[in-house]
Order: sequence, then structure tokens, then C-alpha cells
Amino acid sequence: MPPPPPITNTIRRLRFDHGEMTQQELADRIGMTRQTVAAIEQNKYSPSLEAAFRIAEVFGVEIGQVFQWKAENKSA
Amino acid sequence: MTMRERVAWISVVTTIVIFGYYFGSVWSDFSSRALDGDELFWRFIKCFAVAIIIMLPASLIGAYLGGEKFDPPLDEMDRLIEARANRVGLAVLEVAIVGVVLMSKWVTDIARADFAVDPAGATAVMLVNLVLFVTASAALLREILTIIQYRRLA
Repeated sequence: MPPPPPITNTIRRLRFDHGEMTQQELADRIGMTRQTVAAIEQNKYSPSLEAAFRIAEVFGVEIGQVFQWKAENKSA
Repeated sequence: MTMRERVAWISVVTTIVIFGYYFGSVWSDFSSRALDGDELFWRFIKCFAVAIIIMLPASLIGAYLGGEKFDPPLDEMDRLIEARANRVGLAVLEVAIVGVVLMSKWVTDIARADFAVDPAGATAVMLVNLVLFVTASAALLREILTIIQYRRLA
């Protein structure tokens, strides 16, 4: 199993800000299972670009507000 | 627990119990040098039927209790998990089939030595059951890998 990518997300906060939306509600709106949403939220699974855009669309924000790249810049 | 994982658990338990019994009985027959192809064929068919009879209602009950569809569409994580499990299962099956082919010489020697009445028939019965065994083992491994991935990811 590859290590999780250096990506963080704010899905938990965004769900809270959208009337305590449940993982199941979010899952239904993006056509996924609740378990997949939970895995994405806990940073155990990296979603596809399409799924990431769908999640951002549900919350009405830019994709960068949902997912953030946290890799250290080794070339510097 | 997703429906996919539930089905994988049902499949693993059923396979271990039913086909564990079947291959145990084949090994017992082989050990006592009393392989009967006809009897083994019907024993396999009965075990296969019992496995289906257990798995189908168990999956339906699992879907009902979990409030999910019996065969929900796969999402991208389900597909990834399935692809990884299939890849490993297929690789193991390929290697195991080659192993069975290589073992065929040893199987033929045993058949000639211990099943003198019908060595060709005994060879066929042993090889068929070896192929069945590696196929069932690869399928079992695939389901176990599916469960492990769901446990780690979901």
C-alpha cells in the first residue's frame, strides 16, 4: 500500500460550514460511497481530479480551498 | 462496511468452509489412493451449489441489513481496490498455473506408481483438482486483499 500523498484537505471544516453536512450526504452528491468520502477526508485516499472538482463544486469553492499540496520543496 | 467488503467477507468465509472441506476430502482420497473422478466431480458440483446457496442469500441479507443495494455501482476507490486485488490475484494464479504444469511430471509418476489400474484417469483427476485448488486459492487471496484494503482505507 503506497503512503498517502502529501495532500491535506478541509472537507471536515467545509461540511461543518455547510450545515453539518454528513459524509453520506456529500457522498450522495458526488456519486461515491460514504466510506470513500471518509477515506478522502482522513487523507487515506487521494481522489481523482474529477472527484476533487465535484467536491469543490458541492461546497461552492475553488478546488484549492478544498485540497492543499503540502510537499516540501526539495529543489530549493 | 461497504457492500463490496461485506460480499468479500461472505465469499472468504464460504470459500474457506466449503472448499476447505472439498479440498480436504480430495486430499484424504488422494492419501488413501482412492481417487474416483466421478465421485469427485459430483462432490465438487454439490459444494459449488452449496456455496452459491449460502453466498447469494447471505449477500441479500447483508444488503438488506445495511440498507444498501445488492450490487451497488463501484466508485473510484472501489475500482482501485478491485484492480489492485485482481492484479495480485491474477499474478498469483499465473505463477500457480505454471507450478501445476511443472508438477504434472510428478503427478504422472504418482499416477503410474500408485494408480496402476487407470494412471491416465488418475493424472487427469489430480491435475484438474490442482487447477481447481490454485484457482480457488487465487480467488480467496483476491477477496482477502480486498478486505485488507477496505480495512486500511475506509
